Amino acid sequence: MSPAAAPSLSREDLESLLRLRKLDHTLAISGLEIEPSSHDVIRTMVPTGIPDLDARLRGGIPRGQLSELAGPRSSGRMAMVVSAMAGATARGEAVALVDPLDMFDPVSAAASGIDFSRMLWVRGEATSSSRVSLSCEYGTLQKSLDRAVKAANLILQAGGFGLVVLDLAEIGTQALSRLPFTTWLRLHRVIEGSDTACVLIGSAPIARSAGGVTIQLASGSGPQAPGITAHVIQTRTMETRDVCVPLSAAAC
Amino acid sequence: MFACLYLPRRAKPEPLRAEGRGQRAEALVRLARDFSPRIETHGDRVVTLDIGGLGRLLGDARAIGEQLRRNAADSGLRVNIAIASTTTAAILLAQSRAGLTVVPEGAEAATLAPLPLSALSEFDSRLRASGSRPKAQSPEPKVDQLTRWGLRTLGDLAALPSADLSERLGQEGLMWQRWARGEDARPLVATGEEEGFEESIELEWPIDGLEPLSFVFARLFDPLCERLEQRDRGAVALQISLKLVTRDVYARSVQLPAPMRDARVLRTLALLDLETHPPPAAIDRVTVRVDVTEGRVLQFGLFARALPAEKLATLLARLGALMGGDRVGAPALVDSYRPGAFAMTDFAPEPAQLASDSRLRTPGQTRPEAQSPKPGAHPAQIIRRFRRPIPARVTMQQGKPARVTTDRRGFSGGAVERCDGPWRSSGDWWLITPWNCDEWDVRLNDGVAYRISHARNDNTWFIDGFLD
Repeated sequence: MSPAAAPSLSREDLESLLRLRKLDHTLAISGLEIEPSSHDVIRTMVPTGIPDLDARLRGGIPRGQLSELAGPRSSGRMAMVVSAMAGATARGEAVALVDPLDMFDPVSAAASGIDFSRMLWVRGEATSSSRVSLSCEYGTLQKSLDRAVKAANLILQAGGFGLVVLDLAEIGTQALSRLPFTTWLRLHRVIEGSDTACVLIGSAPIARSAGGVTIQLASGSGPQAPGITAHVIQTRTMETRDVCVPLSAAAC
Repeated sequence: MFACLYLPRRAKPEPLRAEGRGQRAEALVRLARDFSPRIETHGDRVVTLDIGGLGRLLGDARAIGEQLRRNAADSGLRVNIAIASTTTAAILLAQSRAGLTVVPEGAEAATLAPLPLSALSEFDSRLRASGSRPKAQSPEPKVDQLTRWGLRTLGDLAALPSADLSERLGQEGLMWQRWARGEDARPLVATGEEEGFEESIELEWPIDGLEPLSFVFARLFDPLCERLEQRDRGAVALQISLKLVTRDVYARSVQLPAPMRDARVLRTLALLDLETHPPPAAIDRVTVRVDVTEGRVLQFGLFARALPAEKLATLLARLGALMGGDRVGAPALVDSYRPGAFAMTDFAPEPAQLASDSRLRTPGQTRPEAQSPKPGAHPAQIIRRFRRPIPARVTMQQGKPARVTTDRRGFSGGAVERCDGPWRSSGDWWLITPWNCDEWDVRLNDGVAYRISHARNDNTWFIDGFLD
């Protein structure tokens, strides 16, 4: 007796179904890669505005995924994020920056061409992470962190933003470790399948979703000739690549 | 589509409801308001009303006209009714023809053509008497004069060359010709008293807390928003008045970013505002009032990622309650050289447009691509600024910083490997918060590039931030 014939789907049917649910990025990359059109790239990715890095990232930071940007101070984390935000606002998208320690400097960011009218800036209390030796300061820092995560959650739930950045670069690892481990999973579930790309900035890798990317940055060589050295990790394609991008002089 | 109700002079008023001229005029306005919130009166005999959208309820234009006539008869009024796609054609026909006249769209000029020129004179004097038309800059045309030219009907006047008519009669002559063709010189300007949108509830037991207040707001906002929907109005400001057990009145006002009439959104915004600014005592009576404007018409794009105004207002209110109202918004640059100066503005992005769609852009508007960095340009370095600068000690050698140290944890300090500067700035010396400093960018041997500043007035050094 032959087994009952199960309804079979062709690859095209499967791809169209996945595309409907915005899950087509989960398709395995075959050996023959097809260059996506620029419109497809914009639809599924948020370009960083750095051509070499975008080429390595296959278009940019993936939408509907939680990605992370890690590196030490002066490694160009903020420069890269502001470049991506500037590109998104130029395309007419709204972007959001959740800044728990209130460290964003609009004057230097303006040089990147960002359209501030499309940027939502959520500022926390200006507490320096270096002052956590005092217990009261530590409590304030933890409270700022909790509020920032809640604010990011609210923004992601509202939708309509192309790029949402949660800046945890100056938050100590001790404070981050006190967050429930489900925090990042919850954030990813909120944006899954949406058109929003969420980026966490940290001094070390924090978390990302399976389809997200990790960009590990290293310090440049000096204030007069600084640069970004990015180490890109994409789990889905099992790729790790290095990119070197020079930075223009600081706007003072 | 517009309808005109005209009360003829010879119509005999019914003694039951319409006694006297004033009462008949009021009845006429009431009749018009029963059909549309957008009505305009021209004296006490003519009312025009916008009947756009009534088709889905009553049927085609003739069905609407029949319904108007039936309601007028029920009110004891015998009126002439005309329906046309312009108010001018509707008024001219209603004052000239008895009964119901319905003009198909585009046939206004042809329908008006047989009317005598005296209809225009009557129409003009009616508009002037009601204040709907400003004083003429050039002498108004005389019917006798036009008759001497051999013109008898509106069709004759409409057929004249406009340039020649303008030479002889000026702008007023052109206006008459536009009316003769059934064209509107101005849109309908709705008149009449604006309806107040206010709901109030007296509580049996005082409320002390926001959770029970949520249910009270639901009872108030649901009927209020239903009325807004019926009148095609949107709330632009929310006035909340709470009468407390202390006999004081606690009032709050919430400005809305866009006209809205979603009860759930309004209730959430009211609750979030009261959560941020709670009343000092228990509440006895709750009154909500909304300032209204015309309803919003939205054209959604196929590709744009829209952020609806209702959702945005709720998001900003929630973020304001969480972080503080002044800590949420869009950054803005200020006209100052003070290091780190900025301002916060309301976050109200315009509807998104595709960068490639140049047809939707106004001619003077800057292309979005022009503001973006050029392809291939290197990203600019950004400063992470400490809003509270960190005191530091700086050793100078040959007029340049050679070593930076600080007692603050998290900053190791060290020898300066490279440095740029100084950039000197000063200002606000006429205020109590002047600044006068030299700024340097220094890269220390720990690999971090810092922005340090030297306050020249008191010879102190600070770490203002670092480049990232």
